[in-house]
Amino acid sequence: MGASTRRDCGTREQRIFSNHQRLTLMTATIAPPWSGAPTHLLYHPAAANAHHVPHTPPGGVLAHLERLEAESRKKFEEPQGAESALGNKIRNLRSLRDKLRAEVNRRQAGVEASVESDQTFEVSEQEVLERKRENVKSILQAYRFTGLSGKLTSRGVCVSISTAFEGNLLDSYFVDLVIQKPLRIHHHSIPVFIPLEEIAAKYLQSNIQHFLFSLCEYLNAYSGRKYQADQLQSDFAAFLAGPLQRNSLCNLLSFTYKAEPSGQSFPFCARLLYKDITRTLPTDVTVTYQGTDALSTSWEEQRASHENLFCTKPLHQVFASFARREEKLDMNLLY
Amino acid sequence: LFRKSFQEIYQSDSEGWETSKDLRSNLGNLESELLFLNTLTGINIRKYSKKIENLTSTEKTERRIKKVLQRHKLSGNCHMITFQVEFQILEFQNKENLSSIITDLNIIMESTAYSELSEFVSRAEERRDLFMFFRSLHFFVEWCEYRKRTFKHFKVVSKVFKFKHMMKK
Repeated sequence: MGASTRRDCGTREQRIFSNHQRLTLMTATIAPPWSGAPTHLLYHPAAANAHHVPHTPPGGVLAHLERLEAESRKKFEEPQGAESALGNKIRNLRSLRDKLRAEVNRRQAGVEASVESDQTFEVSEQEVLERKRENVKSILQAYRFTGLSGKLTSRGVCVSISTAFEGNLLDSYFVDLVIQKPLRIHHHSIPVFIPLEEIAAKYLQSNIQHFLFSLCEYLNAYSGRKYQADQLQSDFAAFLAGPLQRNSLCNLLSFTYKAEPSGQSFPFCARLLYKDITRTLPTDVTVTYQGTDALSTSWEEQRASHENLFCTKPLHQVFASFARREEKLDMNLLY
Repeated sequence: LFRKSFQEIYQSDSEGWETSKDLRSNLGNLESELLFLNTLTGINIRKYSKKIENLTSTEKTERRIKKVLQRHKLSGNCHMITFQVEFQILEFQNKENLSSIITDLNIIMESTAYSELSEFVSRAEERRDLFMFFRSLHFFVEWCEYRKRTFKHFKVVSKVFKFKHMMKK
């Protein structure tokens, strides 16, 4: 054929090639070549690059076509391959990034957690101490229910004595002690008629406990007597024919009363003396009748029973029983 | 203990935020106070709790009486005797004054070895005399301790005698 053929081949080849292209493109798709599928459907941009170097296809046209087909397929697959390779690379990079991110987060969290746990440890230690303190404080408060309580001071101790009578919680008193040799009382709220100096002289230097318990006794007794007198004045004023006479220590009471305020009973005069000031019941009781006529037997009996009542029962309770008797309107009820 | 300045002991109480160190020293002081009261009263209170119930009537009258019921629970020991005390205090306040009354008193004790205890315990419960209970408990235990010491002394003497007796054989 010669050179011209070659050149001719070139152009012819070009034409063939372009046809081939179309053919290969056609074979690249599902549609059979002879179906006459329009070329635009067959256009595959990836395949349409200038890889095709014009040369004499060995093994004839069909072989060439086959080769082209194979090549096209490869190219069809190659971008996918390349893509998949790149995709894989991307995926790998992404996964690496995620792993690194996770690692960073983990380490950061680890650092934060260790900081946090240090803090929580501190907080919980503080919490524990706070709770302990609140607990101790409340127990200190609870000591007042034993009758004796106190607080440490810079000088020594301030003791608080609580008083009560028959379940009624009454006044509290304090004694501020200076811990020195000799022990002394800095100041206090003990009423002046309580023999504080006497008690201190006996026990303060040798036994603080004994000193305080003794004081407790005196103060509780005084509180109890005062309570009884107060109750009589406030709750049973109707029974009193005159004012209640009392001293500050409340160990000497004198009053005129009527066991039945409404009825026709005689007023009696009562005198209660509490010689033992550590007790809440009188030691000496005299009930007298303030009248000129002699008392009838029943009234005499009543007078005597009243004397007994005042000796054995707290003052206000005696009057409470009078009130109950009044309600029952039963004059013959003698205890 | 008493040499510490007044401020040192009580200052941390007034501050809002305390360090662990302040807290610990404050706690230490409070615990000393507790030990002191324990020694003074002879009573060791280990647990205490209280509940407060407001019983004030909701009616809007001029003479409104404020009523509060307190429920107290405390437990502890006096030497070898453990106790549990539950009591109620009814507090009511009208215009003039405030009254607090123990309305219920329950004392639980291990009544094993000391039958004398049950006597004054029931008396204290009857009279709702809380203070009397604690004072009596303290004196009773002291007396028991004294009796024990005395007895121990004689036991020792008798043991010595036994030994000598055995030796003679």
